[in-house]
Amino acid sequence: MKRLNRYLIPFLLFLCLACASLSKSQLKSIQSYAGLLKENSEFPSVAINKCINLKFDIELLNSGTFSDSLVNKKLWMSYKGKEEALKKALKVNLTVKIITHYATALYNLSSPEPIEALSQSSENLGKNVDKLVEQYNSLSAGKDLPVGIGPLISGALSLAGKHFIRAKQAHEIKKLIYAGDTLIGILTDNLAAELEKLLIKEWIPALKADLATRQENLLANLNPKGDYKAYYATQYNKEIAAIIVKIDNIEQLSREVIQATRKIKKAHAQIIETMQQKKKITEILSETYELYLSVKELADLYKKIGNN
Amino acid sequence: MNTEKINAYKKIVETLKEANALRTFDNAGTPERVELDKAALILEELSWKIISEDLARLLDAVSYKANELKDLGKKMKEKYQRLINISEKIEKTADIIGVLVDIITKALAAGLI
Repeated sequence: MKRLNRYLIPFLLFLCLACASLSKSQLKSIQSYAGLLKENSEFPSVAINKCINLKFDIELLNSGTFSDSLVNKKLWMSYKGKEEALKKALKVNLTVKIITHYATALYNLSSPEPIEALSQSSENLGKNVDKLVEQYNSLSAGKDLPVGIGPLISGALSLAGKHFIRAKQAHEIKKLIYAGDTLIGILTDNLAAELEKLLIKEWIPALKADLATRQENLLANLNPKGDYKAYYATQYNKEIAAIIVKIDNIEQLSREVIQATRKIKKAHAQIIETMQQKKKITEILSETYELYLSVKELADLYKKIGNN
Repeated sequence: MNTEKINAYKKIVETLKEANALRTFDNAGTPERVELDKAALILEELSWKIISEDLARLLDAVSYKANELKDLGKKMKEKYQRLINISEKIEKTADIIGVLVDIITKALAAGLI
């Protein structure tokens, strides 16, 4: 046994030093990041689709003010316009989902699954070796073989196998995550900038202005001397007030989406930095934590808004 | 990027506001009103076109490098599958050796060896 240890331990030490594997906490951080990335990439299209549906709702508000001969045409036109925009939004969604594919692949690649599977087989092998040694010793009249070699074999196989897989896994993760850094950076930069321009600077202010225009138009088409003018005006205003809440929610959601998109890049860069420094991560990375907070806030907001 | 396209939706809403200001209770049912309604309709149709164009612009900006990221995702998937395969091979080898040892143990016990 001592002799075995003499060769086995240096061999295992050599293996440990020869290959730079990622620590468990590093792998865990990469996996947490990938999970958040996957979750977050659902939200940009939610904000876009909600804006399109809201534009449609706003257009219907004063549909009753159009001449009878044009009302039906107006409704079809709005419906087709919305459908066309939703089709385009779907294409955007599919492109943004490429981030989800990357995230899913990174999540799987950083999983401990291939490593953990090795434990059971090596343990079984160790038990069988021990049984064989006992059997041999009971039959042999000569020098006994050392008992308890089984766990040593099982441990050596498990450790060497695990280390081999872990080193291979680390090598692949590092190689691919470095390549992904530039791509994630460009994609999220572009996405955040375009979403800000489109949703915050263009669409949402336009939706607000459009709503005000239609409210004025609705009230201007009520008979000023009609008996129920005040009643009708109140009913319209209630509908408009409900849409104001929806616009406010979408604005909040859009701002959160943009903020979270920017955090994706920062967290990715921090993971790379930590891998380079070979730091031991004792807690979740700060930028990944920031991303977690944003994604959580987004999920809560989405739950609160629901179908509104 | 065409800067003229920026805020086009907002500009249409401003024009629509002017058209809507003329569509009031006083001219309801008149031929003049039908023409004003038609003008409002055209503006609304135009606003949907602008929305679709805005989305096409967003798509162009985001698509840049997206396919490369997709390929990288594919590569990661393949590498993960390889890791699983290697791990399974080691596992199977350990299992086969374990079974062989078990057979030898049983054969020894039965006095066959």
